[in-house]
Amino acid sequence: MTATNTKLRVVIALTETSPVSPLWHAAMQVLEESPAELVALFVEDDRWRLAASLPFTREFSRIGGTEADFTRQRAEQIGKEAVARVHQVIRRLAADAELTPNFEVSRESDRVRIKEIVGNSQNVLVAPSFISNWPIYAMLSKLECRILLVEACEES
Amino acid sequence: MVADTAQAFSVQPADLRKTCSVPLDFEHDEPPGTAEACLGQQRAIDAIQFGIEMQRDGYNIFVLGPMGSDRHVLVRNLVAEHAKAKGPPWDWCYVNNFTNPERPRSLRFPSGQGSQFREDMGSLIEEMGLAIPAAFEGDDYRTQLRAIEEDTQRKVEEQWQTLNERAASEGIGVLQTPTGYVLAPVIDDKVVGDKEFAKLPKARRKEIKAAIEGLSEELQARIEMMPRLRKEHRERVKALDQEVTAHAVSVQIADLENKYQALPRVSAYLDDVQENLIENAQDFQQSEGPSLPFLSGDSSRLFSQYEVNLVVDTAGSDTAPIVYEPNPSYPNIIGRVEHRAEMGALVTDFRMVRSGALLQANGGYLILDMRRVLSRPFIWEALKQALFAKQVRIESPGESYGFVSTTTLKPEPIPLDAKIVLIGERWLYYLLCRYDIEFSSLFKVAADLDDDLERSSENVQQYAQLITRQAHDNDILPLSASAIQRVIEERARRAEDSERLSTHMSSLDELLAQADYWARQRESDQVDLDDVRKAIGERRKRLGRIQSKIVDAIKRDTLLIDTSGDCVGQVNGISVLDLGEFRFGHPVRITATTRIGTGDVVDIEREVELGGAIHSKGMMILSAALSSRYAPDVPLSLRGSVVFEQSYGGVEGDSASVAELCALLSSLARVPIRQNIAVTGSVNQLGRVQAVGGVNEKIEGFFDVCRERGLDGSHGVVIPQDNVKHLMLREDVVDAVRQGKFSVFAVKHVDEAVTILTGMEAGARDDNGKFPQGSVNFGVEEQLISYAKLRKGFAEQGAKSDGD
Repeated sequence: MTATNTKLRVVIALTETSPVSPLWHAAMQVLEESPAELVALFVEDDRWRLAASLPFTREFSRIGGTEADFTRQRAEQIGKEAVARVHQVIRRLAADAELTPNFEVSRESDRVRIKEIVGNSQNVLVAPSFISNWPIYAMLSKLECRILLVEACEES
Repeated sequence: MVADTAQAFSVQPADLRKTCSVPLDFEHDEPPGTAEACLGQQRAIDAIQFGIEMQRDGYNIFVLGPMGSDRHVLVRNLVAEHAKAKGPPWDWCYVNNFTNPERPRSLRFPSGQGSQFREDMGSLIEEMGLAIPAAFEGDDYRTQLRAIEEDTQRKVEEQWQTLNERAASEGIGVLQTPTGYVLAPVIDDKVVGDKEFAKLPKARRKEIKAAIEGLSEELQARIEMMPRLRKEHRERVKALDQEVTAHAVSVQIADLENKYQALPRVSAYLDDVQENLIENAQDFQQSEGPSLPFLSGDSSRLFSQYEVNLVVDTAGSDTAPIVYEPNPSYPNIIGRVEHRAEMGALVTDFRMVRSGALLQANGGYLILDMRRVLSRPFIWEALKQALFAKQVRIESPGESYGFVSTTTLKPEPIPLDAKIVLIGERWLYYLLCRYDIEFSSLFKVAADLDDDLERSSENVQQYAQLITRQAHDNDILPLSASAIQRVIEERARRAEDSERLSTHMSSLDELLAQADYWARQRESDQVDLDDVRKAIGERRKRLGRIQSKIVDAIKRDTLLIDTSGDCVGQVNGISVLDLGEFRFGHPVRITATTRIGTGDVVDIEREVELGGAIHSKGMMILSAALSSRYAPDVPLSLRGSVVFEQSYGGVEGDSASVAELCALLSSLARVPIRQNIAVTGSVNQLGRVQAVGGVNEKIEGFFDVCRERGLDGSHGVVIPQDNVKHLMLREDVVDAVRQGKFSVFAVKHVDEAVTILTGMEAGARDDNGKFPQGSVNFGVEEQLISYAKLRKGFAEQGAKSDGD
């Protein structure tokens, strides 16, 4: 994938905690309006990875609130699991829709890569609404591409 | 003189066959009434009526009688009269038991209302299927639901906002990972990693750690709060759903409750339906999104739990039910719980409960063939159990006997109030009385069908009407008067008694049908005398293969039977072969030998275990007759043996005992016996000749053999005098007697038989107790005294030899 590719592109921005289905359906609506290349971009959250570098960080389980050490290894493990889970969901949805989207993974801090994938102003970015709170959003909004924020709570 | 004496015992032709000469004083071509349908069965009719009317426990009925005696028709006719007066019974339904689905509830309704209730519930289901989802689709519901969701969301956000604000004030961020939450230091909206953290002043690092420590508890408290908020949310949504459902169903349920308010159990069930609908309101919302079909609670399945399984429907009937179950298997009588396969498993519910004949007959009458009941497994015990408990419990036999441990339905038992009428043969009844101790307490009424009725003028008239009715009912050509008379004669023959008429209806129907066939063969519009004769003759011909083989074997001297000349110690007895549908007689040679001995008469048949118990008894009786009548003052020093020659099967009955005794007397007295005469009859210890069975067949059997060899007027049969009333001989036999070609002699005492068979005087004791010289009995006694003297001589000689 290169920035010189001028074909219209719809990019679904996914995170470890974003629900896939509403984002996918929103992207499908865009595709119905105008045919385009579909890309699923998994943006890895840097923040809790940084937190994992601190020796005293604890993770509180969403189920029951039990706490445990939150180490780098733990962060990497759940990060990989999240990528795999989302990738699998995308594959299933794509198979149902008879599509073959590219699946890209990028750190939030890797602005160059994200910019390369999101591309130019003709493209459409479908993203969860909470991403507007993320630092990357400032950069994305400057790309002048069309950003479609989908109301989707972080999975909790 | 002796020949004259023999003639004195001759039975007159008129007594050989009692013809029907009673004029038939009714229009036999008119369709008859039904009054004579149960002719001769008044005792059984009274018993059945008593059993039907007796409304106490255990007064069920057992109808005893042979197959073909129109037992079913009799029972049905009598029961039908009472069924009209009784009126239709309850309808019965099974419905879901919402608190315990494994025990479906039974509901009863007045006749016809069961199906009405099923329709009403069907309409309710249909309405609910539309009304409930519509209520959930309505704006009111959506608005209220949204308000609840927003309120819950607000509460959740408040919880997190408070935490986030407090954390932010202390420079801490609450981060979400895929599996939980993390508290991390934040500076200028950026999370601080380990390198940046290490660069912070020690005091600041300490503050951050303390802040995180402090926030951890609060974070945990918030996490724990979330399930409570979710539960509260669900409860509020559920309450809203129930409110909406209650609003949708209450009017319809109230209408039904009003309609069935006279039936408290039905009203209670409707309350349960309403409660269940409201309780499970959320299930009735149309689900969105894909789901696995076999796991989804689609609305049709949800609503099916309110269906009604009408197991007894008496709608349209105005009488009590009369049920005859030709195949009384366990499911057909008790009922069953059916199953259907779903994803490899067998499942069932209250809708698959099926009633059996007991429930179908509830409030009325159940008629069963006892032989079939006993030949089907488990049903007899189950039937008794139902009668004792006075309720029908539908369960599989496996479950009933504890063979099956899997959970299945246990439908609520239904009270049983049915009169059971069992129909069976007499031996079944007596066996059950003897070996089943519960039988008598459950079937207290025995209706014993008579095999025959008196051949009085009145009964003959009624019987003629019965014949006409049977012909009319069975689409048989009208019978002429002479044909009816001939049929009546045949019915006397069937009864084996010229003074009685058989009540065995199926054999009557067969005769009429066959006579009808022959009448139609000659394109007649009426059954005449010759058609009846032809039917009887053709039937005999069809079934007479074995008889003709035996006659042929005798004719060809394969079976040795003399029908002329005379012989010492040899007599023609007569056997009857019973082939079920047909029986016939044929002569058998009986021989006797005698010599000096110790008083034994050996029955060779018994010695080789070919003789039955009654035959052995007859032999012992004739031994006793011999010893008591002759030479009473000396020991019986005889060894005699008697045998049925060329008999290779079993011999049973005592009807040959006169013949056997005559053979022995002939042997002792050395007096030959005429071979042109056969003899039948049993004898008692005093020499009295007693009646036997099958006398007609026996005479005809010997007649047929003699006719084959040529009748010359010397042939005849000696029968007991007491059997004369049973004579209904074939017309050809009677004709032969009338023409002097054949004779039938009737005797009361064995001496009379001896006189006829030997042509000599038997001899009676004079005032001195002596038999007249030259008589047969004199010869017998002389021989026995001679044996006794010889035996005494041998004994003395033996004693002397021992002394020497």
